[in-house]
Amino acid sequence: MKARSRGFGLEDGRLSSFRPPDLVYVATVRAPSGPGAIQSIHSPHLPRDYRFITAEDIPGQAAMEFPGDKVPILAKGRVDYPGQPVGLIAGPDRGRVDEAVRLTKVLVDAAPEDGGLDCFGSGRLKARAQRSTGDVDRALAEAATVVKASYRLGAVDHYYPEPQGAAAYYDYDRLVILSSTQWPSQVRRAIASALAVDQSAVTVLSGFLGPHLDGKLWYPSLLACHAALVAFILGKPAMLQLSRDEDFLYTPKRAPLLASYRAGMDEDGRLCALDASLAVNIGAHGPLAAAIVDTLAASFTGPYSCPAVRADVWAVASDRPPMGAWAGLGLSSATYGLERLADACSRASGADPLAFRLLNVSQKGDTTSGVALKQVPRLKGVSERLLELSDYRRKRSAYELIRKRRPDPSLPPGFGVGLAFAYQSNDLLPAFGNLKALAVEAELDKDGFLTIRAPILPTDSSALGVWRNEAAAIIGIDPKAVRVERDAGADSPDAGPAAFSNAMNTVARLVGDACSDIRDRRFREALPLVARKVNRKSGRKSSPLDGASWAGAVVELTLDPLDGRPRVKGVWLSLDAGRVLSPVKARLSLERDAARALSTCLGERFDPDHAGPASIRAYRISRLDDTPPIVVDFLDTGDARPGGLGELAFSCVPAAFANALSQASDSADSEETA
Amino acid sequence: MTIDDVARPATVQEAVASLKRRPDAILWAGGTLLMSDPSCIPADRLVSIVDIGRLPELAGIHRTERYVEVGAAVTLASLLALPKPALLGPLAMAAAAVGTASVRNLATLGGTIACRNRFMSCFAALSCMDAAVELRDPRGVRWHGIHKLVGPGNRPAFPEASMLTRVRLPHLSWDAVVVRALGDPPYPHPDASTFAACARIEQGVLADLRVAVSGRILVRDRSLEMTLAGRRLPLSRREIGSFSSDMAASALALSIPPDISSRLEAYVSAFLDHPEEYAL
Amino acid sequence: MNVTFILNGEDVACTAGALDRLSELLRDTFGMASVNTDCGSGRCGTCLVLMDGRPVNSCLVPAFRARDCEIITYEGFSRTDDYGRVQAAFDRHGVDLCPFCRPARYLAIGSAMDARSDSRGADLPSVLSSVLCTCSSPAAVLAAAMDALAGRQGPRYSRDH
Ligand SMILES: Cc1cc2nc3c(=O)[nH]c(=O)nc-3n(C[C@H](O)[C@H](O)[C@H](O)COP(=O)(O)OP(=O)(O)OC[C@H]3O[C@@H](n4cnc5c(N)ncnc54)[C@H](O)[C@@H]3O)c2cc1C
Repeated sequence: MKARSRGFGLEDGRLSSFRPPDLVYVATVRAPSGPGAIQSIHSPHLPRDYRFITAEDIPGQAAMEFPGDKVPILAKGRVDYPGQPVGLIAGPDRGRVDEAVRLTKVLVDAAPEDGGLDCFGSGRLKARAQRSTGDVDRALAEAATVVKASYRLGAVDHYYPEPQGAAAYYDYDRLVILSSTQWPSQVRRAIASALAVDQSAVTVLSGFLGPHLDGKLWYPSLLACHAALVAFILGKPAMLQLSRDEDFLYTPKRAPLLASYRAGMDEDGRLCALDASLAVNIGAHGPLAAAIVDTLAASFTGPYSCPAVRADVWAVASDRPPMGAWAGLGLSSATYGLERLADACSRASGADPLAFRLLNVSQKGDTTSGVALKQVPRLKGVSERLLELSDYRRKRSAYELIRKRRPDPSLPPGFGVGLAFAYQSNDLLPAFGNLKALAVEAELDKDGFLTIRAPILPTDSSALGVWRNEAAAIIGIDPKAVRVERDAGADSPDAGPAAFSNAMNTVARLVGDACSDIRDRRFREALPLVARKVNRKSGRKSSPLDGASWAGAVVELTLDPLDGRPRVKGVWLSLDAGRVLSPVKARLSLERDAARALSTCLGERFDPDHAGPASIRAYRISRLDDTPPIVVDFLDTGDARPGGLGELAFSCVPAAFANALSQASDSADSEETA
Repeated sequence: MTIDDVARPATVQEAVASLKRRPDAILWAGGTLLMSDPSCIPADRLVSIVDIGRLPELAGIHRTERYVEVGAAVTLASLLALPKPALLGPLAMAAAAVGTASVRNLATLGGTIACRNRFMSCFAALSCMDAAVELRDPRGVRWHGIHKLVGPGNRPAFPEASMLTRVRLPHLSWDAVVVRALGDPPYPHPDASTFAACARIEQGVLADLRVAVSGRILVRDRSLEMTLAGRRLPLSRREIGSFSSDMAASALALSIPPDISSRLEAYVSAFLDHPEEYAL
Repeated sequence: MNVTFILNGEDVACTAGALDRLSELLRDTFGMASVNTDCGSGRCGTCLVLMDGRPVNSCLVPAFRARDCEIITYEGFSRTDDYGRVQAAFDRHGVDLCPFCRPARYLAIGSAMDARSDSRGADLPSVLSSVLCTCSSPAAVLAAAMDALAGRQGPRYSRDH
């Protein structure tokens, strides 16, 4: 259900527009340090209309439950990380509420713990996933060449258009929540449990979501609980909106990754062994820990074939604020590590990076990904187009010549071009969540109006428009006669983590199927006609590579001779994503994603271990005039199925950038060849 | 913080009179620094503000044969909108890197010079240009070289209860100019520094060279610069090496952190290696 | 202090603290919902308004400085013909800006369309870069903006002023 105007200024879905009469503002009192025991909390004397709320005031469950983890709604007795919410102050004047928060003193007997990924004990394990096929140790021992390499990815802020927050108010006896969440049913469940009320008494309206990059999966539920708690206790509409600084410091970032590999190759440069240990820092709480390690383990071999593979994947807890997902949970991180490794292997085997990849790409029947492949990964077409667009081959050899023949080897060659491939697959959906529950209903009424009810809706109105047009075209009605609603009733299935960006395609497919069903019955049966389609796919019966969307990226850069910084000259992306419903929208969203992905490689640096008010000022997101030319091209392969697009640029652009940087600086970080 | 008075003088003279009454008053030009850095406004006393941002006398730009004279309240955007901003050489480059276009519509040239606790990013450029500044206080008006605003230990020393009214920028045509952030921490990090260098080349000879760094401290070594004047280009490895390491040593001696000093060495060396790559 | 200024063509007055941010005044006192109060330090640019014709970050403008100025917000701009041109150009390019940056970006383009504007030094890409938002393709935003400007200015606009 989209936020509807109730005279509260919600027309545009912006939380900051929520202005009902009697509104109380809510601000968060946070632990100044942690982890440790809370010694005392001193709040200033509050005027009559103001209220200080702590964990004691929560009528129901004091923590949100997730598979494998619990997240306290407000800390009680002990805090797990600096900045953890310990209380809420609510009142009618925002300035006074903020001032009261400033004057509240929380004393914590803090004992910081180690948060690094290089060395950690089992006590810090939040989740673990393993996958192996074949005898990796033997294959490594017999390999002609073994490459050892490790790569790191840092924390990245999602930088939502509007800082996160939530609003809550009563509509008669229903508690209505306005939340910018990817997972509305989770919000409803969390609130019902915290307030000890029935889920049917809670309605969740989706606020403006924007490019969420999978950062709004569970944290909005925590904020919604805060707003709901205040509305429940004070009986007034309540709004909590984080400041930009709070959002930056305390909402989940991309979980930092340390990926270490040993890859064995035979004389021809074919991969014969791949041993990976991947560790992510999940922060103090990790509701997505299991999903992230599962995705990393499922995707660590990418499209490549290797008879002996082993991955040990850990989500490691630390005393930092919770970390989480970034565009596709662990997929973009796994792809980064693997595509960096592919370059390291090509260097070690003396092969061209593209040739190495194409030599090692899986063939039909290959079982590296765990299930026999039905189709060959569609890298060939993507790479051919990519070479054409980017002039990669010529640039690569020219820059190799510069690298090898430069007169002063102590200076970097300064020119680089790198490539990387990525895929996105619906079958990589995380292990928890009820995939089978994804259901779509379409109803064509007597007046010829079509209503589509889906558990999740696209995040932007233009994508919604594409759905409408598609549905209208299938049935043969005017797109204006199509209404799309989020099915948010108490009995609607929980789309679960299927609300991840890549689930949208499953839902889109179900919408198509439901409409086709109606079309087939339209003139044979009396109106109204209802068609309900349920996703029958569950788990990972087929390889995630079958039916995936594919992308390749080339990044070209030079190093500035003065400051040594990379200056990106261009980015080229070639994609095979099946049928593209709206070519213009698809191109624009890929351009946007590529620009952002590149920005994460340039100035977006955030060290959670040294986070403070200055961190956001040092965090540089690229602006419009920082963005180099980006060329996006979709292959028309005649495939009728639309594929997912939202994660591809985030998966391949950073690796292509880093590979180009390696060539330009003639350094490959921590690679060893034996 | 409590504001007890906002004076809105109509003339420079009235502004100076306000300063005389309240020597601790804050002169408000574009306000971009004052509004974005809370530490600029004392929290523990009554604050009086003198709004000089809209004084017509401070808004003029005059050109003569030998220099451009810019009012202290001229915005950076207006400077960049001059028909030939390139004539301003390093200053144009430095100004273009301050904030964003909408910030530069407010930020003034005076504000970049008169910051009390650090040298802002345009200062390195103004130092290279050997700009002159006109200061007014209740005692009168004086022109000074910009380095008069550099105090002991090369730290900022903008005189108290004074107002900067005009800035004179000598017309010097530079053949190579570069202005860049020196190192990683971007503005507003306290260690953020700006590197500026410019060179005049006459018939293959380095006729004039200026190099400066502004940040917590100003680094400029005129006598070192003179050692390369008159040398034929390209400079030898040895010439470049010794100049850049001496420059880094000057910075270290002024307690610039070693990582920034060694970056300075690399920047200087890259600039001297190929000055032609920095042609305007 | 008493602050009077022209807001979207109308004389307005309010009482405010001298250093209250114009962004907050516009939003809270005058109900200009398009003005965001996000970073409060001139970085994000989503509080952009036109002050005497120039795009400025209203979070950096204290109340006393707004006195006697002409302020135009998106609400005012959306009643102009130029707004229609900008909107049409964005529609043509298929760019759907988010509700947080649209007001600021439209105003930035509007300022460049204004004949009084002397933002020659600050060319269109840099004016648009005053707004930090990652909702849309940067190239498409620029293309739409240039298209809007071309419609208004003919060949007067060029990227290399
Ligand atoms: C987003 C953002 C980014 C920025 N980036 C940069 C950057 O990259 N580099 C950089 O250097 N700065 C940067 N700044 C800081 C600042 O905007 C500029 O330095 C600007 O030029 C200051 O000018 P102003 O007119 O706004 O100064 P104000 O804020 O009005 O004043 C600054 C100081 O100078 C004094 N002052 C101003 N004019 C006079 C005068 N005529 N006589 C005596 N004293 C005077 C004031 O009292 C005050 O102490 C940035 C600011 C923002 C908001």
